[in-house]
Amino acid sequence: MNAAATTVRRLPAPVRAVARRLPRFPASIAFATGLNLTLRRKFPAEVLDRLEGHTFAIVVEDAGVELLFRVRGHRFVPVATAAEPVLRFRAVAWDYAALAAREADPDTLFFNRRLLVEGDTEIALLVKNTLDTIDIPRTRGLLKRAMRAVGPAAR
Amino acid sequence: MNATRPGTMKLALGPLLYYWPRETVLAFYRDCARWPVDTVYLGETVCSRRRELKLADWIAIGEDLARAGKEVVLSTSELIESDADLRTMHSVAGNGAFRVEANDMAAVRALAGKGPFVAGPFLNVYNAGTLALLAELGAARWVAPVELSRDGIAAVVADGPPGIETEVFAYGRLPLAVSARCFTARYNNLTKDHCEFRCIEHPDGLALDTQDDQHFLVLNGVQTQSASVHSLVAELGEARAAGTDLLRLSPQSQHTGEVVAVFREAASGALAPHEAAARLAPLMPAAACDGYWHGKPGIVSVGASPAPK
Amino acid sequence: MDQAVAPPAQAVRRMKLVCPAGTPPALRIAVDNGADDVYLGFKDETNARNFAGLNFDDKSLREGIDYAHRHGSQVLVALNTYPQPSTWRKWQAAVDRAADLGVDAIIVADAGLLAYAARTHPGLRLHLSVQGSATSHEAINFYHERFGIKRAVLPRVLSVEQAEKAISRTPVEIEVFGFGSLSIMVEGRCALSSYATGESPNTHGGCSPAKAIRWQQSPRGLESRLGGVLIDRFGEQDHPGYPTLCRGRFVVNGDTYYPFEEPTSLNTLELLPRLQAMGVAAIKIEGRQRSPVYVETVTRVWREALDDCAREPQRFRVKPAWQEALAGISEGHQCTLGAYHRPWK
Repeated sequence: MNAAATTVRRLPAPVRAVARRLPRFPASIAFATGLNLTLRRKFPAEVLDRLEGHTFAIVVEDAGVELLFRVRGHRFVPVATAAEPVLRFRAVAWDYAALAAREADPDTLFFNRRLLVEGDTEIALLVKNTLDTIDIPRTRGLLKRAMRAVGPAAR
Repeated sequence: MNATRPGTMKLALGPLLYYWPRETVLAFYRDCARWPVDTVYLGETVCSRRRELKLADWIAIGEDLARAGKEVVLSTSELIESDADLRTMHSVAGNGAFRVEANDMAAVRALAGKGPFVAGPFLNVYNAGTLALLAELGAARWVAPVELSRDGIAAVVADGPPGIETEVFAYGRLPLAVSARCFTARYNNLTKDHCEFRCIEHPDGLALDTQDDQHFLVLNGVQTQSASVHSLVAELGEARAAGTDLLRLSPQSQHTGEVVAVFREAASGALAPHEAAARLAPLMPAAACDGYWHGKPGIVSVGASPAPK
Repeated sequence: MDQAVAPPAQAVRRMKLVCPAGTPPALRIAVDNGADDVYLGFKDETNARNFAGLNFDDKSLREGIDYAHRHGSQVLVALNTYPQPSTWRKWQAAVDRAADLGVDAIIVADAGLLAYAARTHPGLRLHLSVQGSATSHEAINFYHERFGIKRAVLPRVLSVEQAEKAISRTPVEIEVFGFGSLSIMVEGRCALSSYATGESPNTHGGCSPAKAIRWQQSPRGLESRLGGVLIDRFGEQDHPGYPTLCRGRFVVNGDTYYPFEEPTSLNTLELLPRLQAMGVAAIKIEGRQRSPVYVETVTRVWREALDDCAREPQRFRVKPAWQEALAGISEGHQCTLGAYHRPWK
């Protein structure tokens, strides 16, 4: 079941081409909205307190997209630019999906340099451990099905 | 913490942690008989494969030192793995001549109820509950773990059983960790069972630096030590106030007698803290540190460096 | 020396599988995949995996115990760090909480805390933590005689032969490490982390605290630092490991290498029939800081392996699929038998 197999799965070339042309800020808006819908209520208040005011960057390498958001008033708010995010993650879309679907182990991706994390290690660990605590079975089920559907195309 | 006069603290020479040739060891302890130390800990505590001296040799050294007026204590090994290690521990525990320092709970068990013993630094005494238990079993003295701070030691003493003596590691490279694996052998591409006793080539340990040239640790066989030399010579007033009865000084290949002399003068109040630190600096194999004492990373130097000129 | 204690009757006991849980989902996944025991800690420095966002509060522990018990598993609470006078009450309260919540055992290292637990909660089952550094049957028997411990976790320093001797001379159940991050130093006897950061497993419940870790991209590669001390530098082709001092790459007499150990994981699958025959009571899987995916993989593989071994020990073979699954979640992608295999030393 371990999706962190040896090969890196990248988005198919046509998808990559489209993704690279997408405007950045709307992508961040969509992402932050998704976070507020799926995760916000599941995050313990003390964790959101700790993240308050910090900016995070999620770089989807194969899509050429950087999603930026800040935690403000216990909500995820999209931002257009950030000089120094407290954390910047880098991985390909497939690996992010595998992490979210609990099909991949974050430490394993990290050891393999498929998940790069820059910035404050303590906050990174807090985010990782908090995500490990959260149950979102419906979202995960959808993700898993989506991955099976597009899996053959990604390589 | 009030800085009182250092007062009446005794000096103890800790067990020799390195592997030196037999003649060097014998000469070292012949000299030691003339040094102003009150207590001397003897025996091989690091690696059971080291055999330049046998237990009978340590006892003979102890007898000479006892005749010179020293309190002699035999220390047990800090790591017991094999039946042979257990037999050695029992020989030390039952030596009949000298008090014993227990460095493992198997040794505590062997010594319990058989008269006073010393609870060594590897027994992990971090609180008064553990100390009370050891005192009940016969511990007359305890040696604080090296990472316990001044405030931690003071609190254990304050809550601990009355009458037990407190000893603090006050000088030397810090014994930080012990392993089943021998890192000196590993450096030489050897296994521990066929180690060729290479640690005898490193009388103060084998230096380990970071890739950006920081002197960091020292490999001493199965033991890993700090590269910096922990020194409380400038904190003796605080040490006394925290309840310290004995200061442990760890042997090094050069200048140990002079180190003892500086501590003697500093402990009697004859030498001011910054003067003592300045006198000590050229006698040390590396830079000073004292972070643990202040509740900080052990590598840090807070008060150990000589006062700026 | 002790009289040898007769080993339990010829019948081979089935070894228990003891799995880690840092979070409630990990606990449920461990139980669902066949863990006999799940071990975990409270959200504070009373346990040796005190990391942000990890571990259990009273509510999640109560739910976890309930879930485990309904599915036939037991819950062990690790209280395996060393309390100091200023924090003693917190540890004492943690023992009381664990007892009140009905945990199946607590795993303790500190002798003073064991004395308190034995005195205050005589019905509470006590396990000696690996952090208690009991490396011989005589040390284990000390804790048995004083506090009535029922199980002891052996430090990862003994060879198989040495472990076997220890088991044959103690009435205490012996638990050994089967898989996970390998400790190079004797547990409970390592202050390397506090030397660099001020915090160690003994004093603060964690090695290499996250706040002291820095990952930095430099012209010479990706650098990991702990308390400012450079632990390693990784080139494009290197696999980074956990930033612990005993996996660092340092320089000795001009040689740059891993003076303590390469990034690697302990894996004793191939020893299972031997461990079972010599009377090991339980196999422990390391990794409370790891994800539910890790817990699922290790629990599934080890459950299958232990069942195979219990059924037909003579015909036991390590399946390539197991090794592949475990290699996929191991640090450094290498596995070792560690000190169980004498030449490792």
